[in-house]
Amino acid sequence: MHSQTSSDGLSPRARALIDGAKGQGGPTTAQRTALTAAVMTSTASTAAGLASAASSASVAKLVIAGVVATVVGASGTAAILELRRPAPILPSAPVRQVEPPRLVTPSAPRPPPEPVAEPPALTVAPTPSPRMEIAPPTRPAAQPLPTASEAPTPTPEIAPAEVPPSRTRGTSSDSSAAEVTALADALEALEAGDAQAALDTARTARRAFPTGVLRPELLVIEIEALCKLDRPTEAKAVADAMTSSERTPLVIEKLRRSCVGH
Amino acid sequence: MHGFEHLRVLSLVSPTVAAQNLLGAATTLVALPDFDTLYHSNVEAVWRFLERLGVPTRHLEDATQDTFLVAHRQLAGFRGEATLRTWLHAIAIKVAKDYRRRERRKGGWEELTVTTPDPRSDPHDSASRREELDLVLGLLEQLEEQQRTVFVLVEFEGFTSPEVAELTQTNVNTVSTRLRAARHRFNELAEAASVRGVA
Repeated sequence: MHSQTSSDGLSPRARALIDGAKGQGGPTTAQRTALTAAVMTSTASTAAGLASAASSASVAKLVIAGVVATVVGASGTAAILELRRPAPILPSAPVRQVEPPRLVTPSAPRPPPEPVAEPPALTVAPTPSPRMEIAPPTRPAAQPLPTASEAPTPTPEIAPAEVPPSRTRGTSSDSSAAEVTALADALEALEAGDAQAALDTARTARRAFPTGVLRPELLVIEIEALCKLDRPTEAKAVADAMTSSERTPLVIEKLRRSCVGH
Repeated sequence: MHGFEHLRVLSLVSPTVAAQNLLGAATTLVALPDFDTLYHSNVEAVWRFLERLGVPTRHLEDATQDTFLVAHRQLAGFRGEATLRTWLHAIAIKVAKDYRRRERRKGGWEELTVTTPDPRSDPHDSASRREELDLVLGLLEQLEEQQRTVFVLVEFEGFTSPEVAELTQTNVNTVSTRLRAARHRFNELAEAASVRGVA
């Protein structure tokens, strides 16, 4: 196949491909901004030594508010729409005690050198879901399920026309901070198992900030809450009414894992 | 320039955190970067490294975040026996392995970069460069996982075989064997791609 290889065992063509790909790729500006916001929010909360869900949620609000002010001010709305929940907000989020690499702890016994079919696995999988899912781990009290007669007609609370093509309005730092606070409240309620309160908070915030930068997040919470309340038809109606611009990759991922399934 | 390069010289980083280790009678002062410096200096390199290890595009953001969250938790315990660069790579390898494993379980390989249009649309990215990268990622995808890890560490990240052996917790001979096999396979794949007119 390959007629010649260099001393390192790679053919010139292979070497050229590798050299050409070096340094390529990497996050876009928006991705990096969103990532930075998420990482810094999580690590800031961790550094604060949060021990309880309540305190973590409170601090997270402040942290997120700061992040929103910074991100919105610096990079527009795209980044914050992708902001993933900081892990400390979630009491349900497993603290991923990843085993430190053995190479930095030489005192630790090393595994047999070979074969290494299964290198030490993360003790808790770094699943993206803990930060993205909003579902609480426990549901203290089941919400009364609506009977057939009282099952609400799926009337989407939102309509595409409700959403202006641009989100540049209504993104002052004040409104952003208030929107973030509302988002944190809704998340907190959802985590606490109070899906109705989460739904009410998210809807109120969404109406208060119709062009808010966190609208997709609020809609997702609303959908998740409706799912928790066993109102999948309404949840689907809300999801169906979301505009394409609101369907960021992370939103789509969240919806995919919700009861609406898309 | 290889990723994580600045970590080779600890004096370049901000020594806002210093860890003093007592190893027997010896005392080692290890200057660690503060986490912000660690993050901002390496986030793009970590992202690229994870991508080359086969983390699906749609999970790169999560995987990168996971890597740094683990690093944040472990940074205070870093004792300097390895370079920070090596240490960060070791974390990323574990994260990538876990993502790949879960992706296989879900049968979601069809969503990998190699077959999925890249959702990133950074106007600054040259389309041809992206195509070139996608081609390489597609070839890497056809390597056996352990061979791929060794290959990426050596060819893209610039590690030596002994360093890779330490990183992957195996021995140098095994690393050499995997690297040789990976290079041979990559040569074949590159040649085949050339014949098909895509390289």
